[in-house]
Amino acid sequence: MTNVRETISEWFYLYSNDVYNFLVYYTCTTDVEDLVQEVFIKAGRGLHSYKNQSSPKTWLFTIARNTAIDEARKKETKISKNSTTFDERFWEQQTSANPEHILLKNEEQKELYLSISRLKRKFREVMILRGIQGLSVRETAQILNCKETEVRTNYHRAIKALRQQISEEDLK
Amino acid sequence: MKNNQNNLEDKLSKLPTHSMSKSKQDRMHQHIMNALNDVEVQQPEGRHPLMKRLQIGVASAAAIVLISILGLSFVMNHGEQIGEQTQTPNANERENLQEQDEKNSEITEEEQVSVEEKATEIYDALRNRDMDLLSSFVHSEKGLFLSLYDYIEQFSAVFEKDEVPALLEDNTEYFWGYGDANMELKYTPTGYMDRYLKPDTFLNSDNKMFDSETQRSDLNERIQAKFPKAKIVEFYKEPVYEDWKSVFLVFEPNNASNWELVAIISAEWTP
Repeated sequence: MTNVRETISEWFYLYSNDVYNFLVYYTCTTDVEDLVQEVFIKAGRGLHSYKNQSSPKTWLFTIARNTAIDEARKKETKISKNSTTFDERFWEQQTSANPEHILLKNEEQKELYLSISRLKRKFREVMILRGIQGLSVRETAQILNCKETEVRTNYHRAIKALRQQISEEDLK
Repeated sequence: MKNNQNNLEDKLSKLPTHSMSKSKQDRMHQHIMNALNDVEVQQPEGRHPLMKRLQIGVASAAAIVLISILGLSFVMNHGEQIGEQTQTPNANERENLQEQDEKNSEITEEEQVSVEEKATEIYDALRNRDMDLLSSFVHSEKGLFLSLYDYIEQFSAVFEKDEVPALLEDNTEYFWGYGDANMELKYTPTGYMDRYLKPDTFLNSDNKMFDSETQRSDLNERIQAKFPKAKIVEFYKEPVYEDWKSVFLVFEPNNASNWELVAIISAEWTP
């Protein structure tokens, strides 16, 4: 038997800032406290479904990613009525997708951040998890529910796309 | 090339790390603990909780019985009241049933067009939240079955045709399935529609894609298993990467062999 509150309390102090940092980059806003809170409540309510094949951190990141996407879906009605895709809207609606909102130190970091935000979602996700959060290929695959080879391939392509974007910006 | 990649990876790793203040963390921790007051102890690695609450179990069982009775009532073509139909059909009746089934399973081109036209009108009725219009398409004997695709076998809500006009005034929270981390998905009919059948996005006419014979996926199979004699019309939002969304309108013939709406089933990409 597991004491849910004890477990979640322990996980909260171990991983809440990791979840917070992930959500800041994933949603392009620092206004993510409600999402962080929701992640841990969901984790507590669903703790019985937690399987030890993944670490608590990767499990929490999986919930965080799903929660962010679900939140974006809830807001969907408020978004433009045109036929843009959810993928596009998901990022457009993060109205504060603005480097000023994130503590970026210099122009180079701002440019890098904006370039990441312009990547396709599958590249951006792997870039945030692998490149920024520093998670392993295995952990990233568990969070994205895909094969490790897919993570490696997408990460490689994401780096390539990012480099291309940055060099295009430099030419302007 | 390799140096470029390393250089870029180095820059990525140096992007700032964001964290909450200790006081903010403590406040949030308190909220979370309060919210988890009612889930003090749980069995780890438990089975997937199909029916957590007796109330849900009873409601689902009642729905299954109701559907069975309605189905039996329909195919026997007696037009009798629900609950009166309990006898087993004899050989002649079985033969009639078989003939009826064979007849039902064939759909003429005219019927096909009729179903597709109805589907378009239903789509508009859903977008406009016009429950009176929606009701006019609902199956007279079977009523309207609402569910989420992933839980079609386990959870649903069924409404009689004459209940549909007041569907949005029904404040009962029905159980539709489980979301992230096994969170219970409980919505009123209005909540269900606001979450899964949003009028200005998913049901936006710009998004309207229509497919009565979709080969896009095997999604139809589970619906056909649930509604074997049905004609299914799918509206879907075209995916770009992996995000997609569909609503399935399921039709079955009534006693007068007119195709009527028996189910609305929502499906979407789950991360």
